[in-house]
Amino acid sequence: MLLRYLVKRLGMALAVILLILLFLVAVVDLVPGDPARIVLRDRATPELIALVRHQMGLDQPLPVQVWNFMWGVVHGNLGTDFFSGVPVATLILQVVPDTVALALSGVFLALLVGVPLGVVVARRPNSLLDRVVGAVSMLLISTLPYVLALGLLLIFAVNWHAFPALGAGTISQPGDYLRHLLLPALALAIPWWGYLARLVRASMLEVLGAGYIRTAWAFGLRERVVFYKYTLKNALVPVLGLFGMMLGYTLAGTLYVEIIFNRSGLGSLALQAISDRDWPIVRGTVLLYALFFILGNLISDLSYRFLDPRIRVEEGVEVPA
Amino acid sequence: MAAIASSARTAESLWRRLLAPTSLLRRLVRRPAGLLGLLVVACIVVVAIFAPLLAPYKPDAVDVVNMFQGPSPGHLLGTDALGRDNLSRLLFGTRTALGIALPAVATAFAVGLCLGLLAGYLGSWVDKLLIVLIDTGLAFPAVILALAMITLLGPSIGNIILLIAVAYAPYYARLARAQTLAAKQNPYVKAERALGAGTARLLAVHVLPNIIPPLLILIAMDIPGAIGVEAGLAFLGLGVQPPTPDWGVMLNDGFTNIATTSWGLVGPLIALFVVTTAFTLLGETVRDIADPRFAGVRRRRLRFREIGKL
Repeated sequence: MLLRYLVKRLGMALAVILLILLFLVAVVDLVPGDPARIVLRDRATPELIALVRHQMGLDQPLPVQVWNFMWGVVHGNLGTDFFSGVPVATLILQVVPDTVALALSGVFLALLVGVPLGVVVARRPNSLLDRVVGAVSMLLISTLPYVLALGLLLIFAVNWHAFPALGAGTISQPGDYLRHLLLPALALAIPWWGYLARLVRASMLEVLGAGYIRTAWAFGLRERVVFYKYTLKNALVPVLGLFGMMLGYTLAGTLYVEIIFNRSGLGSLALQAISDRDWPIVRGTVLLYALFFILGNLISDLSYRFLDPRIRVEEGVEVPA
Repeated sequence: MAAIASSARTAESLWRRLLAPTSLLRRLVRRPAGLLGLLVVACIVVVAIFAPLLAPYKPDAVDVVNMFQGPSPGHLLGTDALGRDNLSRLLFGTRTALGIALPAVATAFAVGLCLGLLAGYLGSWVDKLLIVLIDTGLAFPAVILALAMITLLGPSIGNIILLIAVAYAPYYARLARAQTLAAKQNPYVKAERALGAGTARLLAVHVLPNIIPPLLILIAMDIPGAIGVEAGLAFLGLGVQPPTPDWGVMLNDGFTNIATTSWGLVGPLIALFVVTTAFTLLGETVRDIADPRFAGVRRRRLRFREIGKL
């Protein structure tokens, strides 16, 4: 059963990846824009366009293009940058560590605050603190990431000069690097605080209502033991399952944060490529974002399955048994 | 024809239900959160309609002598790099925001509803194909999809609406499919089919009215998301282009000139915060009221896509 699910889920992820590859090749034919004409702008002459189309492989029939692109992707070849002639994969590999480091710090900060917040309010449900956290959670969840990032930038970096506003610093100076990292990571983490607080609270209260917790109380165990040893452990299963998906969403969110805090990364690379109309780089970065996202969802779905055997799978959607 | 006539009757009874004492609207107003959300949303709509009357200046009235002013009685939110009044641009920005978000979400709703209805009802290979398509659609956060599409298409308003619709439609298709699968099992649907009713009548009279309410809740939750995507794209330079008065464009201007003055950012930041919060309040309250029916179909992944879509 588990193996069958694993095969089915992996097959699904593979099918989605194949469709995305197909989309990223076919979209050029589907929409009116021509990457060759776009990148050349007003220098476009028919001869130049033909040359660039040939360089980008656009003059070949669609199935050949699809095959070439897939073959290239499997071998780590995403095409070459139109302007510098550098392989797109090289450009992406240079900046991916920055983006991943930022996303991981965001997820770390999100868990660091969000989970304890949920635990604290679950201890005294419907107390004043619980209501306040509930209301604030709603505000945090609905806040747009770039609004948050610009707000943080404005308050802490521009007005108070408490943190550096621009750049990422270098990893060789860890203190400076972390100071540069804190605000961007916070911008990614804060919406999750609200979400995690809600999730952990609901999950804690659900577990607290379970029979074995009542038994634990009946055995006369101390509150701390019941709460942290028995309840918390089980209540954290949904959070662990969420981890992969958080990572996927946070990676997508780094786009805005990189631009706002002027950090190097996938988002900055993509945006520069868009203003240069450099389709091979745009295609490469979009593919990478999508892969990250699919991987995150995959980790989440699989970890749910492995962490909580009670979850049964019907038609690819988890429903509690 | 019969199907169309009876769906008109259904629409009429839906309307009557909306105004009944136990209706959603009445129950919504009774909750403080719902009332607050509804009032703020109503204000936003009023501002969008009457922007020319409310705005003290024309949104594109250039006055270079008075550029980068701080707040003053003449310019409550100051002026931007071209001396344009920030408040006026902000008020007119509601038009751009709603003018893009509403048609985009409506398109996503219509397309998703049709696809989900067909897949759920017809089943077999249509359904399987749609599931793969939906999952592919869900694998692209809207902004990432925008990177690819806008590079090739260019950022016209029509393209932005299309893009947001494409990004959101899979969620509607998924929910509509799940709802259709559930509604199909109802005894009255089976009975009607046994009586010889055609597919069109079954879908229009029995399935459609039952699956629309949860989708409407999704709409309320998606409008702030769509506004966020629209303004976010404009902020990145991938959406509405200057000099259109738009919150994202204003954010971009303000961000570019942040070293000179931060007043350009304050207005659109607050506006976006208030609007998204108000719509979310409204959406969440509606969902809470409807929860008994809605709880079963609200899947894990739907819950926090508000964050992922941006």
